[in-house]
Amino acid sequence: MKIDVELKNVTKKFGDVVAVDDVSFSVGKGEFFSLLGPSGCGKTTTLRMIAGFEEPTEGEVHIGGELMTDVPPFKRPTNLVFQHLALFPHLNVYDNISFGLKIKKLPKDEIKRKVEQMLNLVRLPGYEERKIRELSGGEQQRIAIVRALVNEPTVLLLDEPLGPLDLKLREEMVVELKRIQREVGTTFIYVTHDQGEALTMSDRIAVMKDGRVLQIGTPMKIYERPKSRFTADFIGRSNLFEGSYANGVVEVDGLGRIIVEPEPQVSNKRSVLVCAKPEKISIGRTLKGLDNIFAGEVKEAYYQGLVTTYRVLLENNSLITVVALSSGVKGARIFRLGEKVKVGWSKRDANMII
Amino acid sequence: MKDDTTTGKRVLCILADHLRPILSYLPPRLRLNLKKLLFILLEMKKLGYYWRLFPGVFWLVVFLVLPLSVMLIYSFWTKVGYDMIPTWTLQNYVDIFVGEKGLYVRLLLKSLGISAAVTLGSIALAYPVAYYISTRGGKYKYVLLALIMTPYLVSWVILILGWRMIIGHSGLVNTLLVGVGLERVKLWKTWMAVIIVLVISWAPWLVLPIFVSLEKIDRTLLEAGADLGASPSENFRKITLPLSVPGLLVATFFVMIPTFGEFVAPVIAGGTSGATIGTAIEEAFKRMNYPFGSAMSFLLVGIALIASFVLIRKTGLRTLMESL
Repeated sequence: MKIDVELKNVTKKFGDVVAVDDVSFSVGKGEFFSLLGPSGCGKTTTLRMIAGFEEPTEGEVHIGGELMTDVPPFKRPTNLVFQHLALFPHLNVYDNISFGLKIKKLPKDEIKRKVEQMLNLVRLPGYEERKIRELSGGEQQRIAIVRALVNEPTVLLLDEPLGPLDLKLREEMVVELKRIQREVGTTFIYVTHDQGEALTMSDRIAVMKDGRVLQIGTPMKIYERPKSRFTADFIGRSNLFEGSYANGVVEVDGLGRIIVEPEPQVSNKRSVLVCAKPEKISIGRTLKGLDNIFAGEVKEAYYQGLVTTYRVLLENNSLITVVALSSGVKGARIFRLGEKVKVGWSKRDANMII
Repeated sequence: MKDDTTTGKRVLCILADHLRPILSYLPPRLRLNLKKLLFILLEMKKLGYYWRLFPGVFWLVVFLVLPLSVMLIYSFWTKVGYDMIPTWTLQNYVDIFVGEKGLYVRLLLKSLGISAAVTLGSIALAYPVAYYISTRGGKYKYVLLALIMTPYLVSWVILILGWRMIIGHSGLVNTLLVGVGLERVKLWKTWMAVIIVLVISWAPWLVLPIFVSLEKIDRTLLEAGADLGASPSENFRKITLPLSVPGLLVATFFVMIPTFGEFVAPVIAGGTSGATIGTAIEEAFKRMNYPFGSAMSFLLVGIALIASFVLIRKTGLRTLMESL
């Protein structure tokens, strides 16, 4: 796969504060790559270094195979969709979208054709003459995206562009963004703190915390095989058990043995975390054929329509979260508060964090 | 009962309903008077609200409406000897256009020209300063702004006379010119001197509205411009300048209208070649020709009003007021 963007040991310091700490990753051509992390994790700074608004203190940024050090933003083959969109308030939709093309001095009819094409792409045909303040939040969003996209950048950078939208609109735009990316095939680097957005749209995700990249992988890998306590907690919910490992078994104080997939590299007696996702855990009066089965008592139950979330108190006095299909869906049933139940999961679903 | 829409009347009707049994004991004539009294009391309550406008209205009346009304009335009168006769004629206005072989029209145009030149000149001086303070001022922004205002601590007339020492007959400029073996130039007592003096005096003041409109520009717009390929100078032309237009219009307001009727600078710095409509008005009042002076003044007010109206329509009152 051709690599479009590559960061090599990039560090950014603001005075004494290390905003980005030795970050390296490469993004392939046509990939939808997300930087996911809580606010202040350095994801926006990383993006701004790719765009050229910040220079790395150390390390290199390569775009399309070229070293970008000392290349100012207006000469980089990137375009950024800003967090607060930064649409030009004094220009109409047409002039906003054609801003970059006019600077490149493209012929008038070509500009016109491209703007039209872009407005069709985001399903806003005929919007050329509209003023920016006359547009709804979602419409402004789309204009901001195509204003960047119309320049055919090697890579499109998106800095939490869906942040200011309400939930419903955000869900719509997530689908829309993915569709746009599929249609144009441009490399996208997307910054977000919203795991839902990242999981839905990305080909790969880099989880960031405190300026470092903790894990890079497909949404499924990140979600199901988190490599750190932070990732396990940040992406979805996780039940975590601390114990010491020996030959495919983790001994948890007060609870007993959790059988996991053997990891030859892990030395015996080492303290590890076992992570079990709530929806991978079965709940029932009796359970059979699972590697790990524990008895417990239903303490809380939240009916959420399709699923019901249970909080089950185990023998070691810890609460475990279980998500099961609600009653009415085939084979599932609702458990009452205080009911004695069994919870269990197979060793495949007992992901070990070393 | 008729459909009474005002609350006052409705209240009165309810009151009347309750009072009717009592009223019926009273003689008919007194009954009617009581009703009238109630009405008057209610009207007075309404007046109470208008009283709250009093301070503002009083201020406007004393400082604006009163003197201007006197002037407006005078502008239709005629001067005979040293007396003003209430003739109610438009002759004074006609005289502005036809009198003295069109002198006043020429003065009017000259004043317009000077005020346009002063506006352009002072904006050209103030804009770079405002831009510099806004973009590079950092934490000293407001200190720098305060420093910009220091010339106004000195009297206006003293400032003008100060400029005489620079561009006057044996001023700094001419001394230098003679020093390098060139001819003296006559700057003082020309219309150029009037423009220079006015530009210098207005420019610092204009830094303020321009600064405010520059400060309001979202800096990420410039980042967006850069991201879309605009060089810093293209960014300035395509984003900063158009977005600072409200500030420029406010600046135009500030300068153009007062300069239009200016007469101090033309008299001191311009001498005889500095004659403007402002000096003509002053002249007329000096010669006790109040009707003609008033008519010229009112023409100025009219032109200023039209100019303001056009400016407001063009920018929108809101943008204008926000950048003040």
